[in-house]
Amino acid sequence: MKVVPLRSLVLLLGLVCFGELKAHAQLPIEPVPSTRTLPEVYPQNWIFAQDLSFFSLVTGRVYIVDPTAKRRDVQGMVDAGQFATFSFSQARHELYVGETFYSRGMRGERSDFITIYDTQTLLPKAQVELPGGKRAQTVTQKNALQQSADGRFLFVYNFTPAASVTVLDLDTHDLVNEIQLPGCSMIYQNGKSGFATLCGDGSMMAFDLDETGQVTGEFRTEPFNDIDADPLFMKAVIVNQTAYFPTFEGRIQPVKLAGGAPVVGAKKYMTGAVRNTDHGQYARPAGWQVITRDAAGKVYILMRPDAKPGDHKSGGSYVWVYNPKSGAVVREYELASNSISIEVTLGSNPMLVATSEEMHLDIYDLKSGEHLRKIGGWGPATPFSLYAVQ
Amino acid sequence: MKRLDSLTEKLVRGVARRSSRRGFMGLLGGALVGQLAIPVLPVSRAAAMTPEGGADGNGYDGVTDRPTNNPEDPGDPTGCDYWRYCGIDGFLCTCCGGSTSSCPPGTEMSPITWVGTCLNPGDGRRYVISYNDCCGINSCGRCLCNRNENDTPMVRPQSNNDINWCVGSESTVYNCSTAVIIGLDEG
Repeated sequence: MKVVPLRSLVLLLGLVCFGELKAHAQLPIEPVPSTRTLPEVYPQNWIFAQDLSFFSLVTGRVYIVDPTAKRRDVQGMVDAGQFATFSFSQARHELYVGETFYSRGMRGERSDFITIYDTQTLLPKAQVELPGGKRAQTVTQKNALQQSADGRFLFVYNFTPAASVTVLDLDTHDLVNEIQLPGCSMIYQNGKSGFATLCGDGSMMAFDLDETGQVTGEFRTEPFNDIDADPLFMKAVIVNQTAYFPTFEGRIQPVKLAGGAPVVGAKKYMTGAVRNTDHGQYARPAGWQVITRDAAGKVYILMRPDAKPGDHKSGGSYVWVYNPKSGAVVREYELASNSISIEVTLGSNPMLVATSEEMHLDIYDLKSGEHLRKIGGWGPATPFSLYAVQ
Repeated sequence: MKRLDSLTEKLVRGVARRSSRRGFMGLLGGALVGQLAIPVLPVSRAAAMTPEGGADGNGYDGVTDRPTNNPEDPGDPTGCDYWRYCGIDGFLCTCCGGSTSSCPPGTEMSPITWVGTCLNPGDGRRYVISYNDCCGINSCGRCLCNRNENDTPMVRPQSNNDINWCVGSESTVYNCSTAVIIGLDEG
């Protein structure tokens, strides 16, 4: 056996390595520190998925998600803990989080803020303190933090349990008003700059505001919400200044909210061929965010076949598409799994996004109904609320 | 799940047949209206309940069964289908260092609560159950239990379980929920 000198082996190894290096260009040096930014105006394909973080309520967040992406689906996030609320403005390039802190984490002095984030950097650009420790803490929902239709005011729902709405001027970041609500809950856009609210006696109140946020008109309807027999869900969508509320029994209640007094329309069961199938007759809206809309103004409702009393938050396995003009169910989507919340993106490649019972997002092609993928893997996150980028 | 659903349905029907929310309000008096409401939140049944533990198990993986062995108060208070939990929504304090009637050490019991009426299969009586929240420590995270038989939308907050009822405590941070017997429902 011939002994190969060690020096020859080293030389050989060096040649091999050199050859490798020669075949591939050196990877570029990467500058640090480095932090990504996002576009100032978000694509309409994106959504915000608000994690209530039920298993650690003080540490929630809002994920910014591109449901069409095959690679980078989560684009970033902002903190939103302790029953936070969320809203956003594409025109102002801002995200809004209503949140509550304690000076020593879980204890100490309470403070409440609307934190205003820059859409590009996701860094806070302003914090507006909400006095009095009254910001409502509920399971995350859109109607606890709403903007006026003209984008001037941000309305913050308060509950101590006395209810009120704080009015924040988004031009000046001043708190310009607090309007007491006599036993009423949640906020729905009414006209250009006002809001409406559902009341415990079954009526709806509405307030018109002037450009300084002061009340110029106050209105109250006759009771129309039968809270004992067939209550309205607190979730609604607005199409052409009409709010559509589903009821526990599966009817749709339209209320025209064009400013001034709300005009209550006829509450009716949805009609159409799908409604008349076996599962359709006994289906009821069920879940958390049970209603949404698409860009064309069609209304989407999460349905549970054969729903029992007490199932109104149990989620559904179908989505019905309701045409508010005809009153008919015009399409049905069968979901891949029981889901609790739905949203529809508004871009050119629209998706139906559903929060599944297992707390991932199921992504469906809105045109074909095909289940494309799921987005999750975020540990014990509980993304109860979904907001399509407008 | 079948056993749970069956029990739930029975309870719902029983409660619906023999009582009303107005009855609860009357029982507790107008002074409490607006201050009675359930702690906490709707969470998916998959996340909230895993009643796979068999007839006597609590259904939660990794949680030791703890049946009462009391025929007059039957069931397992660490299980979501225990009779007192007919209106509960949250983490069971029995799994978090507390009990059905006391909060875990270091927390504060919320002074304002939602009450429900549940049928005790042990004696056939309906009891008024107060679901006081325990507050001041972050989410317990064990034995999440979500039952909405008596829940109405937030427009009637005194009977809604989407509100964090630690709002009445020194700290609004939610930890878990109790189910305290506060009387017989004679309505």
